[in-house]
Amino acid sequence: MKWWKKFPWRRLLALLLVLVALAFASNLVQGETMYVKVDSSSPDAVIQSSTDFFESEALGKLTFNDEVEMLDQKDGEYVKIRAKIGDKEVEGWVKALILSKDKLLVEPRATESAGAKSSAQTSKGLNEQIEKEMREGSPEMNTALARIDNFESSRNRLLGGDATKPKPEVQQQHVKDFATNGKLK
Amino acid sequence: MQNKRNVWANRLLLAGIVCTVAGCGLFNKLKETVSALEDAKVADNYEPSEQYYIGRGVSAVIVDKYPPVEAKDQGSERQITYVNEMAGYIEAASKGVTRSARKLGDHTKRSYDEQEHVYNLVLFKGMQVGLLQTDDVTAFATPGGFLWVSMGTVKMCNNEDELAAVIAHELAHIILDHGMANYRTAYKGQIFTSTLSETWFSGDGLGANFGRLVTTFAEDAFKGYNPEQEFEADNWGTRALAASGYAPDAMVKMLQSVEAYEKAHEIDPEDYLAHHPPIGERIKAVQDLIKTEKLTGNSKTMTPEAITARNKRFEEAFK
Repeated sequence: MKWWKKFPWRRLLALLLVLVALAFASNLVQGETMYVKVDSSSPDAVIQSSTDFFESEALGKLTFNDEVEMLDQKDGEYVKIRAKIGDKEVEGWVKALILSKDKLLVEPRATESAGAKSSAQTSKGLNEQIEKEMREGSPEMNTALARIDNFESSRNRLLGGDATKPKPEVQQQHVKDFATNGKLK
Repeated sequence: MQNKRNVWANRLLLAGIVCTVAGCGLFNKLKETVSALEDAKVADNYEPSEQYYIGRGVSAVIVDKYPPVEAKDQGSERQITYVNEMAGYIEAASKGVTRSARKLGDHTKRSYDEQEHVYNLVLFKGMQVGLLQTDDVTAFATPGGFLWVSMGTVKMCNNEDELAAVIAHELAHIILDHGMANYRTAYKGQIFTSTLSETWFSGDGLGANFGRLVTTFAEDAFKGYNPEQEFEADNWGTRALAASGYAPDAMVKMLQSVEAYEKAHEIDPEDYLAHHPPIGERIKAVQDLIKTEKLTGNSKTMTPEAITARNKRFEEAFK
């Protein structure tokens, strides 16, 4: 009998299957906890029913630093997640880019280097608190930023239905309607 | 003899399994090391929320020079809503458009880290588009997703597709991280002095230091992005137009309108347009791109009926 007829092909197949499984396992992130790095007003904060933006429905809305559980599905730039929205658990799709492995610091990075001599180091990172200091130190900047506040409030009201807490799902609907009415989709 | 071969075959398989398992261990170790290095690089990056506040600071300087259109009546509300819907639409429809510097004409030379910043870019609060009350032809894109278009630019556009070309070009500066790339350069160079920063800020402290950096950076932004970034923005913007169903050659027509504006007006050397690359070269680069990439436009969105629907709403909003 030829040696190849005696060759343990089944074992070789099993080995190949193990190799394939290991290759996939190295990329699996199922069950991993991730954190949201965008604001709740961002259109990207919406949990979608599918990865097609124009066909999908909004299932819920995430907020900054929300915890989400990664599920085992990926489609292009989207990943499937499970998140607790109010009392309900919601499963749906979000862009992988909006998720971070680590919870993001609420405190500005600048405070960490507040003792540094370099002005550049001390000014790296900015949040509401540093912006407030910047406004207090400059009436000109305060006036100019008041215009930005006004602009953002108007835009939030017009696109998101609320001046202070815009709804990204409302904004998404605006975009979908724009495409339909302009016969672009 | 055959038994011997089987024994060796089994040994070979066993060795293969052992090597695979060991290899996986090494691979995972290597992956951990690479991941740690990547984390270190990311630490040098700015988080989306930080970019948003940088964008607010830069935008403040822009609206100090050019007051924004305020939503004070139905007409202005419609205009603001329209440009924001358009930008949101182009952003959503162009998600598949490449962000690779090499594929976008190789105009800019991004390092590995810089290209990673581009691939990983995400906006903290999404895109925010504002209109500026000036007849100057100008537009700005800041880090963090703020996009400003002057009413002079809107009036220069003949139809919705041409305005979409302006928005797509500015969106490209945001998507391709041009603002933050320049900001990082300014930050590393510790540029803190400009006329405005000296006038607006005094003393030390985090707020004042940040203010100096933002105002200096914003004043520099008035001169526009560098020529390589402009070519790249034209390239991405034209591809985004095609992906969104707009006419790709609207980018050419829009640039030709800019060319006509430049000829009709004496451009101040300090003006935004004065710092852009020669408009003729930009037009040619876009024409070449349309030809080589066969960006003919979508027949379903380019029907007379569709074009009329878009131009009607453009006219209603702005004319």
